[in-house]
Amino acid sequence: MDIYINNNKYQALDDETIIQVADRHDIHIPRFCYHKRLSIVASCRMCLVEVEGAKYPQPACSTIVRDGMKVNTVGSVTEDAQKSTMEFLLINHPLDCPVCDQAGECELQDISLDHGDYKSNYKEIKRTVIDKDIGNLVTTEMTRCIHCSRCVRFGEEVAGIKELGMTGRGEETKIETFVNQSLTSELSGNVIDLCPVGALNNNLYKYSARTWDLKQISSISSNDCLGSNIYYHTYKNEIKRTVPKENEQINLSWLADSDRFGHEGIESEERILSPFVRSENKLIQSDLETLNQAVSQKMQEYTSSTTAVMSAQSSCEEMYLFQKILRESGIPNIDHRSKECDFGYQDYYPIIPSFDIKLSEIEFMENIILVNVNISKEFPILSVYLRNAVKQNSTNIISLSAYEYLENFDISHSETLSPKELEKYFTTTSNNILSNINKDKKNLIIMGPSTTYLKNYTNITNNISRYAKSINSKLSLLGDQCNTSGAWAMGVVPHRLPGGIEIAEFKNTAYLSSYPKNDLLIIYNLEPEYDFSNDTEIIDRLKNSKFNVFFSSYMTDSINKYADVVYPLAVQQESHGSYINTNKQLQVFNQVISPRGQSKNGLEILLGLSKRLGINIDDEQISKDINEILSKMNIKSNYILIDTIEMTNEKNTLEKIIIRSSNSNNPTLRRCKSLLTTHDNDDFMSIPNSMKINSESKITINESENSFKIKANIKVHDKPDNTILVKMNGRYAQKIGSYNTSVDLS
Amino acid sequence: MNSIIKFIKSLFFLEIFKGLSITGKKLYKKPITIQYPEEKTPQSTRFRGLHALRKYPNGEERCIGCKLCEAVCPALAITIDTEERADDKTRRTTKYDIDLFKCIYCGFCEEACPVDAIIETSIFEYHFENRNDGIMNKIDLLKIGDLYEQQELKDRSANDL
Ligand code: SF4
Ligand code: SF4
Ligand code: SF4
Ligand code: FES
Repeated sequence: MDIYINNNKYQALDDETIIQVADRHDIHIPRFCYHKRLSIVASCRMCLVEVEGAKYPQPACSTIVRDGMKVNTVGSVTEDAQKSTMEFLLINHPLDCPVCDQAGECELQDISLDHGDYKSNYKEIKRTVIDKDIGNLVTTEMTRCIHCSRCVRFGEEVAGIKELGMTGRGEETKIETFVNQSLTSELSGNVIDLCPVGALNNNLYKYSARTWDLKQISSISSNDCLGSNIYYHTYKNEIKRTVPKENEQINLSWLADSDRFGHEGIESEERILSPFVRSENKLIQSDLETLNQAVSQKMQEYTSSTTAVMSAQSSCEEMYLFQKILRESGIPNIDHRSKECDFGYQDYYPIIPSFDIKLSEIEFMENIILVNVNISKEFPILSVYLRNAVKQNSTNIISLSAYEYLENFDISHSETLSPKELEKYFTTTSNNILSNINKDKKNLIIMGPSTTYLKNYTNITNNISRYAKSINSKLSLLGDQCNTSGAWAMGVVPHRLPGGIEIAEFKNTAYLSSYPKNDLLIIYNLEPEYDFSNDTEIIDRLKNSKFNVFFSSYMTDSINKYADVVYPLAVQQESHGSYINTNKQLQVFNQVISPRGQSKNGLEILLGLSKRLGINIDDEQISKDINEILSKMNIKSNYILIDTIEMTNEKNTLEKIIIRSSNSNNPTLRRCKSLLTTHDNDDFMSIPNSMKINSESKITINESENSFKIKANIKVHDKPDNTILVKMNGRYAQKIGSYNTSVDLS
Repeated sequence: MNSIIKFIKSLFFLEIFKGLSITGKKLYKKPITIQYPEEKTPQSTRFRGLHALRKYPNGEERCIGCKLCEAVCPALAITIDTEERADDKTRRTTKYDIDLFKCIYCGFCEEACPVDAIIETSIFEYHFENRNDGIMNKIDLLKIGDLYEQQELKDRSANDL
């Protein structure tokens, strides 16, 4: 149908509101409560427009268009309405723009300037509201609130946790958390962007700059494999804050808290600011040339007993060059799977593990099975899609995990299963909930990254793949790190070259198992304490090897103790490169700030090293090679079908299961103080009910030859049996060693 | 033709007499110059001289770190860094520098300030012996503010018509 806005004819669809048509055609209508991704409440009245024939001005956000409707967004009727609304809104709004962080990007300021009146008839006292403490991430200044209720609706509709609510009426209206809680959602930071005024603010950014000073640089999130698009706002070479960059295929208008507050760690005191070499048992400052010389010499010396492990947080360029340098020096033992311990699946693995469907298609799935994943904590952005699917199309969601995860969408059936039970669950489907799943429906299985940590991952993934095939289901493999897909594609695995080309002689080789002892260990952007499936083992290896090379941004105890050379690696925000996200999209990120101290972009360091080793390659050649690899790649489905397989046999030992925490999944995140003080990082160990241990008991854990005594912050669980659950990266996880191991508690 | 007349006129040194006649006239009038520095010209109460940062009577600095002065300054002479002050959680500057070599004494900063913190005092006699001294920091500015507060109040009341 056609409608007329300011006497111009525009196309409109049925059921559209005036504001939607106007927005599509860039006609400005002021608004506060309306937001394109939230429901319509029409409470602020700022969007009043003149509709010819109507007695009073109508709210554009809630008025549905009619054929031939004539709307005026300018003219005296509209302008009078706007002026009066503005005057009402400003009655109780304080005049503290000079100290308000929103000033300069405040919708109230802008609209008041464009549509308000310069004078007010209100002479009485303004109201004040006491601020709420809602946690470390979002600060409040509630006197500034104009009760648009965007934050409340966000909680209800998108985040799925009703955290903020409105109490009272009229003058007494207040936005509050229920019973003085702090915000718990992993999406809570989004209320900062949504709030049109300065009532909800970013705590990290508080009072540190002004909006007009900030430089905006676009980038890609390095905290999960979805690759959310973000803008960093910098001032004087420091990142002041992070905001979402709209991307309809990934993060919509939202951002996970780990992305929004994840830049805090960059300025940590633990940053390594110059190259170090060991001399007389101490790390002393040095220069890259010396390091390159030492490293290249050792690489030639220990060719056959070198292990190189690289973080999957590295960019594709770094990965490509890293494996090239090593392979051309005759070192085949390269891997990125530091957190895994079962590699039997590797020859059957897809060339690029991926989500398999577009995120926007999740909505249309009829059955979704989540395996070992806590979507709302680990992949907050994905939870928006799943929640939408449940709400719009009542998708049936089944969760099969080792822990009773809370999700922000409705789960129709959930079960806590130990890894062994999980393995069997998919082969004996006739007597469990999976028997109800119809193969003619649209089915999706999402496997969480913590599945890969398990000791029987090969069996689990094989059984799940077979099952998925039998019900015609898509299989989504979520990566543990932002560039896990890239690591597979770039050949950072021992048995495949870039592009997934198999190397026959290295079938069945994984980075540690194939070498009982290492003389040279190269560890790239991984922290031995946190990033390895078995930290005790890797530290043992570091102790016994002859030479240890670290590429790292932060100093840790073990690096300090065992490194022979340390390259100062710039963090992601200080370098440029590209990531392949879980949808197989190659996304490029820019350098946002200059590297701290003498730290350097990993690519630059590696180029220096390759020159030393006489490998001729440069920046441009690398990008060219990567593009060629990606264009030639022959991507098959995600099914991992293995022909011969033995079921894990029963043993009566405890299994250890790691609960993955997305707020400490990479070195920079681990150093974000405000994220670490959120409730999600409570460290605990959970043991089976049957063990009869209370929080006072001292526990000794015997793992292979190591024995640890800890006084644990213990929770007790009923199911799954014979398991202990440990929060990843917590104090206990560090002590107990392998992510999934048999332990004796005594 | 014109040039010939000009040439003949020049032979009589007429310009010199014209000039000397002005000199002669001024010789017997009261001089308009004064004997600086012994004598000084009267100064407007709105004079825009050296900058200062003011405090409230209770000793609290006025400046709230809004950076409006920095934003308005046409010469980019002001540099401010801010933070949340630990004890009372208010917005405060950690750095407030004015580069007097850049400043053009336009007074925009004074006008922009919402709390009358930055002002331009009546001081106009000052010099620097080092290049770096031309950059006034927060401590200097607050000190001048203390010294000239009374003068400023007087000037302000004179301005209130
Ligand atoms: S706090 Fe902000 S977003 Fe929430 S109701 Fe008030 S003004 Fe709206
Ligand atoms: S007087 Fe003008 S030029 Fe000087 S600091 Fe103030 S605004 Fe800048
Ligand atoms: S001097 Fe005034 S304008 Fe400048 S930052 Fe301080 S309060 Fe703001
Ligand atoms: S935007 Fe329409 S009433 Fe608020």
